[in-house]
Amino acid sequence: MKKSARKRSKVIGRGSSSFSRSTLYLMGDHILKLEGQFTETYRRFYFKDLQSAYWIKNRGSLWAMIIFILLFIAIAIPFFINDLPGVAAFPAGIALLATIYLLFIQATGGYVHFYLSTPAQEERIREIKTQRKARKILRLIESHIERSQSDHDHSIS
Amino acid sequence: MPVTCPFCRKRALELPEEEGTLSCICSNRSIHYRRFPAYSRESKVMDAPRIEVEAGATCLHHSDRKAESICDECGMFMCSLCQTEHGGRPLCLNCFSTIHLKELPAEKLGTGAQSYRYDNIALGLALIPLVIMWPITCITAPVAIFMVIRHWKGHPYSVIPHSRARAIFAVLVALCEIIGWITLGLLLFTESTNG
Repeated sequence: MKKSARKRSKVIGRGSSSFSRSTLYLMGDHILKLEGQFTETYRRFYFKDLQSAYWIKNRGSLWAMIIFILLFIAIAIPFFINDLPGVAAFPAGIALLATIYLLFIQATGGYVHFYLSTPAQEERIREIKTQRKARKILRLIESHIERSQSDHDHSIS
Repeated sequence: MPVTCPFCRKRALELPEEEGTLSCICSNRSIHYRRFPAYSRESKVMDAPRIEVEAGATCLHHSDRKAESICDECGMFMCSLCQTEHGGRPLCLNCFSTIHLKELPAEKLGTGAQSYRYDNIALGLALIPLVIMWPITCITAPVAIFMVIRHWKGHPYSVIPHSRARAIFAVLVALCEIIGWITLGLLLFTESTNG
């Protein structure tokens, strides 16, 4: 039972806030949002109930990228001018890597606020942070949704 | 069913196509969306007859609706919205959930809306005081061991199955702490008897 349950669950996203962390699982017939470490709270989004998914772009990453570029310039340039690149290599390298990462995120759609809507609730899914991830998960659950919603409609009729 | 605008959280927005973008009048920023077949499914609204005359029992939760039956467990007056059935008996929702929970097999008890991760709690009890206030480990270590033993059968405590590794690690850490305390006590005792 345990092995089959483990097979049925697949991690599709992780998120964390200051005091708790959350994980998004793809289960057999629903998406499970699990929050907390000591007390686990479950939110279930059944495929048969999902009406829509929508997302809005978050401008946070753009600002972060600008800050990292400025940081890179501020750290690296004075040292390069004085021919002391070794001292600035580490902080400037981190700033550069962060900029490249944020540039990649921005190029693939940027950070988003993602929402799932059912007849009973509309909830922001904090575990899905980028547009790339949102599209990937939508592709993943699309077939499940179509199958379960067509089954549901057949059973009603 | 339309979605609520994520910017103003007030206006309802219709999703016209299967997939696309739209914007609310409150902001010019675009909202990307994907609509699923259930979006256009009409929701069935349940209703119960409203009371028309002064006389007659009303539902406990809906004072304007006529009571149609009485809960077999608690005797509550219920309208057809509040009524449910279990084994052919009319029950209110509270009694239904209580009875349903009792009848669930042990392995399904942790599949509700919330569950306690006793292995994590025990690990926290064993490790956190060690870092922030080590003297209280003389209390928290036995509590951690007790917690693991008390809830050993309730494993995995969660909808998502996992191993007992955390619980075992918590017991090992707590045992080390207890051994540490015993050693410290013995050392102090022998020192006081010798000196």
